Amino acid sequence: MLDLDELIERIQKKELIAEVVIATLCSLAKETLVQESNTVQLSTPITVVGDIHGQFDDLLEIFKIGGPCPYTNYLFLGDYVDRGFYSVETILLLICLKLRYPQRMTLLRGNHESRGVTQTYGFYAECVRKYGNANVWRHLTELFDYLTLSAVIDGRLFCVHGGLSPSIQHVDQILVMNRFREFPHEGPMADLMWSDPDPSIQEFALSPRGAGYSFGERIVDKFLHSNKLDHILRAHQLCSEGYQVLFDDKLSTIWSAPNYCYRCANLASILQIETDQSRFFNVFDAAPNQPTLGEILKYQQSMASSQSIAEYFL
Amino acid sequence: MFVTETDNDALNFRISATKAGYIEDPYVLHFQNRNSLPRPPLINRGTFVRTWSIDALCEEFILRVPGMKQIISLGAGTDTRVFRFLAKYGPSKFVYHEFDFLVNCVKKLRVISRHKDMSDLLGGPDGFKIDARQGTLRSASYNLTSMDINDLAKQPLLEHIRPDLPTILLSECCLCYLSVGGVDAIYQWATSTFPSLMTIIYEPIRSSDPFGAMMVRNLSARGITMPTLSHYDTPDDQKKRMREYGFSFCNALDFYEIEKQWFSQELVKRLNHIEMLDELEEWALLASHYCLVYAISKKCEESIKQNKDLSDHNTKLFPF
Repeated sequence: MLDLDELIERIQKKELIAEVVIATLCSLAKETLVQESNTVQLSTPITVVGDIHGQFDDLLEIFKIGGPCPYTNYLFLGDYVDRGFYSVETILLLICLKLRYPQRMTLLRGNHESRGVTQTYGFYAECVRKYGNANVWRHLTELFDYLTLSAVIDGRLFCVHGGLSPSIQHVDQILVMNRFREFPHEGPMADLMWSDPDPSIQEFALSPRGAGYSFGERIVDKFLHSNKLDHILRAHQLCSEGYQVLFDDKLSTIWSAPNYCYRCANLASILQIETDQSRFFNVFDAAPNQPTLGEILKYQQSMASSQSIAEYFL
Repeated sequence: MFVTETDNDALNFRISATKAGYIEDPYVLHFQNRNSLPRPPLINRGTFVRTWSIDALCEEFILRVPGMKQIISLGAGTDTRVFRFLAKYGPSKFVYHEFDFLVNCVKKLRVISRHKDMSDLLGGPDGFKIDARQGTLRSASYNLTSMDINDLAKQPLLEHIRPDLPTILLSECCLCYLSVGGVDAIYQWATSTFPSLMTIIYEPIRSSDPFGAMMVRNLSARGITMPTLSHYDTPDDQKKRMREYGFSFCNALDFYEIEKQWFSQELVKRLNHIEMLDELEEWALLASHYCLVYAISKKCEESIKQNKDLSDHNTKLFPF
């Protein structure tokens, strides 16, 4: 039997966890996650966290700022892996916390929790570099298939990684989807992971990202009204101030990876929601022990991955 | 890192962009080494914008300025533009001169002499002469010389450089490593030596904003400093600089603007088809910190205007 507390301590020290342990963790986590609906019902008080992208030191900082789990309830909006150096540690810690405190930790799926995307943006390469083969990547990407797609807080705040879909007018339509697979390039599941709000339009438009849609205020209004909701919480887009509120406070973007890729010099935030549903964006800067530039150089020199850490055109 | 090593990054980026299908360049693959790993879509995209926009300017110059032209490329490193252009235009439209540090020149000479597709473009094994110790190559179309760029303005003109020819002075992220005074001296030299002159500069900008400040920190951790970076913060600052050097027409835009203003719909579609850019906000941030500046002397501007019988010129680049 796994000692989760001991494992959590070791992960926090960035110790390499054995593949066989990871396989067991994934197996156990699947049993828990499979029971979750595609739209999980949550209650305040809760702290909502946006993209982490392997910036493990910043994740540890988030637990310092927001309070440790289980004393604080957490909802993570996805994009745990890719881009940063410590995607493995990031996802393992969150899975352990989910197993240890299943009612206090909710993990949504982001567009980076995908076999295809992780092969381009660094998670695959990090797994191969740390373990010598792709088995860990395979275990974890299989687990990603089980992550839920959305959440509703107090029956009023709709939470998803990306945004809305022209195929989904009611939350009920999300409930009946089959989420237990690699998500396709198109369709409602992809849209929920990839779409972005666009203040310059009113309806849906094709997304400049090449997946999902851009959606405007009228779409947000219709969705909130039809589903008796007050607000949409999502992540997915880099915010230089850590968060962005749009459409007359009907939609918020939360971004939780400060100094993204150790290059963007952006702030990050976590959203703390109290029982009266008041929302507070707790903004923070990069962790004092984000990888030093020396570590970045060493990492780049090993050049075993195609992550673009602090890369510039010269 | 020494400034000579900055070429390694540029090379790896170019190899990645070529292999991914953004750029057609059989020659850059001859420089491959074990560090040539695929780069992320963001980097490939930026490398494409850089290569494409400089190519577009040079090609517009080649097409619109009558007669024989001359291209001087400073700190070219492993850049393969001369071979791509010779393959496309043949040897009768331009002569191409490159200058770089000895170590980079020697590396380039070795690759050229070992690859037939490159040496054939120079007229075959009898078409060029190499001095491996001095790091020089001499041929009818292409000359490579090892030199500290600072010395360019101080030495008498090399015999193969012709002041009478319409000339492009190209700095693809090279002059930014010199002092402000050093760059001023080079432009004083260039504007007084070549009456018909276009200059193209590609270099970072906006070091004053948070992203730019982080860029300066990250680069200096690798031993890279750019003395001119803080002096020319915006595209407008770059244009002012060119006017002060005496150029009659100038334009400057960052990579984000180049995509918006110069790229056709078909081109954008083609790029999106090769690879999806996941983080558009990050791309906007990165792309807006690189500037393309180009400026033309009065004589050059007049010779372009006189040659108005060409129907398919790109008025976005030279709006006259």
